[in-house]
Amino acid sequence: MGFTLRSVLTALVSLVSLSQGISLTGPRTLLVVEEDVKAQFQTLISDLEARGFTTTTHKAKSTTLTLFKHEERVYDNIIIFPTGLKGLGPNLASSSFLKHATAGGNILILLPSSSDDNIPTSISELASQVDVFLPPKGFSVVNHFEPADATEREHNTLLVDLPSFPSDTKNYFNTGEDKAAKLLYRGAGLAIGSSPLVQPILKAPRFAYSYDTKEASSFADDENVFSAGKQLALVAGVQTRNNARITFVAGSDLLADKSFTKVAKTDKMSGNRAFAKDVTAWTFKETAVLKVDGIEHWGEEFGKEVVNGDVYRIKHDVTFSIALSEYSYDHFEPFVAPVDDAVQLEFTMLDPYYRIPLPASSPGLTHHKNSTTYSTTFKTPDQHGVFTFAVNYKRPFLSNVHEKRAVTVRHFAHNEWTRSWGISGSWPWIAGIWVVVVGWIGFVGLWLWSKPVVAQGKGKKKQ
Amino acid sequence: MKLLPTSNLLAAGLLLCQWVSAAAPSAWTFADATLQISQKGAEAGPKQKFTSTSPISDALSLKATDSLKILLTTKEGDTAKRPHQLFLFVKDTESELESFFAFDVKESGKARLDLTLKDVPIALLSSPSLSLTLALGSFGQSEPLSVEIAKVIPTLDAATKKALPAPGPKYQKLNEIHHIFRAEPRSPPKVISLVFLGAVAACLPVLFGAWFSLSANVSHLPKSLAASPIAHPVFFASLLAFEAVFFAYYTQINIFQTLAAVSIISPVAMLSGSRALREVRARRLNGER
Repeated sequence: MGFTLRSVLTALVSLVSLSQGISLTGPRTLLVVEEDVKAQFQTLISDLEARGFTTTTHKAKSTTLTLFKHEERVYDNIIIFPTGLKGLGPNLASSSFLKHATAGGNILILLPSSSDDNIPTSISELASQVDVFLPPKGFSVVNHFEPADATEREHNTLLVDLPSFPSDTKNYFNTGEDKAAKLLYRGAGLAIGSSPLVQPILKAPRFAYSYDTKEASSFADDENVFSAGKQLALVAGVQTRNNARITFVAGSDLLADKSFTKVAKTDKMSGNRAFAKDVTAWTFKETAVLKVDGIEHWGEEFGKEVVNGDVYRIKHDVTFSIALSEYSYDHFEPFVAPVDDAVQLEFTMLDPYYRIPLPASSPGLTHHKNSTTYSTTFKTPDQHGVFTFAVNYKRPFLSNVHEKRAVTVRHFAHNEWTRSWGISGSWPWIAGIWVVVVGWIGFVGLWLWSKPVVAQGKGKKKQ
Repeated sequence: MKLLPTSNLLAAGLLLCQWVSAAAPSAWTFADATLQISQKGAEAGPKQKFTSTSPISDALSLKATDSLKILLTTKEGDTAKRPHQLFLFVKDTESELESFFAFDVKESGKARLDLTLKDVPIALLSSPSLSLTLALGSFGQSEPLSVEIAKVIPTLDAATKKALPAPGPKYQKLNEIHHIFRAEPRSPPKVISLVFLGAVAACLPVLFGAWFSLSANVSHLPKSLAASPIAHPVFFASLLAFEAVFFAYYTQINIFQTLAAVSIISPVAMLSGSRALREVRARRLNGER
């Protein structure tokens, strides 16, 4: 009962948010920013407001700032702008950020671009708790190989290509018109751990490195280099198990007004503004959120008469279909999996007996507008028991889909086996039975009606 | 651009550098470069020379305990000088996986890197082939240099391979699994079944033949029918009916229908049987059997 009430509420909430055309989490956005810093991010903030986010500005040390009221989230999204402060104040401890994410809220963290600025303790604590590692104060990424401006002394404004991913990963961060646009970047970079929940969004160019500007000003020795090359991430996204998103941007200038400009070297607009939109849209769940519109399965025994039945027989064909859609800013659209990726179905009893791809196909029995139907047909294993249809679709950047449906797989009924005469090996044995039957009937007949010949020949019968 | 006070000097130097290089643009390069492989407990191998245009052509085959020593002198244009960056990038040739090692460089530009293969991350070691790339660059306008100097084929012994940790979980497509069904039950070749079927069926004529050759006959049938015209046919028919019911049970009907049929036939068989057997006894008592 509670579950249904809750799902109705969830549906209502998503309806409301649909009608407003914004983030699936919600529009209430907290900006933790000082006035002077806010002036540097006017475009970012106005772009967000134009997309339907409502912003509330607080200073980091604000005493009236609270993330929870009556144990409910006050904000859906939080943006932490660089402050230069060593601490963020009592209401913004790393634990309260985690609590916010646990309650489903998203966080975008902009780290200072300047190596002179401090990173608040609660931010570095939060980062290490989600397997992201920040260099200490004073580090900066340089790239001698492709400086944005050859006359710049420090070589620390980088030209970075827009992100590209392996062919099995959907790219949500290159949706701007100019795919070849370069990003302007300045900052310290970050390293990420091996957790699958953390994904690098933007990586450093191959020969770039992050070094300690104070200790290693003349030569980058082993001890003073934080990381280099493709291991060095510039933007990283974390998606928690409950699909809340935390994004770290290692150099806030990436999203600042001053980067939304022409790149001197290429004489074209930088890709920063479009990238800022992609990063905020991903973080605040305007993109890459999957929804299961329907699951249908039916078997050979009853055909499409019985859909989503409880019982299947062993060694029967079963068809399973799942309809998936994907949120894109203000509407759901059919979700198309990348070519080299596959939505996979597992048919599991303790261990998967099957793990097979679900190809996109024609709509299932129920036609869902705005969704792609993935379906497949397979033969149930020759093992009876309680099996589970499981679709465990977890991919970088996409919200998790983990659907399970338990069904019984029964063995053959007594009248479903091959009859004995259908088995050629049994023919001699069946013949044996009938030989005995006929022989016995014949014996009874002879016993009843035979006339003793011996008695006739000898004239007397022995008793 | 805000500069640190401590790096003002450097900045001034860089500015000078820049001014100089603006006049004569130069490039970072290296000279006297050698690579030496040494194996544990053995003498160091020969020094292999390489330059920025001619890398070491043969792929180096290295065991986990082997180490590399690379010596070179970095130059900006023609003057030996220390660059800010001198890294050796070790890259898996088949993926994006890459790691780096910083050289130890003196002010004079003399650089040295001692690299034991076991220092290379395990994920790289398990790849079939690695490429070594030198990256050399610094502040200012001199052209940086990146050049692939050698290829390495890591050869791991079985024990090392076994000790490699399993790769961590990754959100991606997993290997397909298809259920392997048990083999269908099989019958022997039909010919053999048919031969034995023939042999079994042949028992019947043999049996009857034997009985008739021992002078079995049905000559008393007319006499029996005359003596008890109902009991004999009914008794024999009820026996046939039993067999028919059993046949029906084998092919179609269930146990309850079978029991019902048997319960109808049984009294008939009992009554008619006792009458028929009484007639048989009468014949025996008459000495006709």
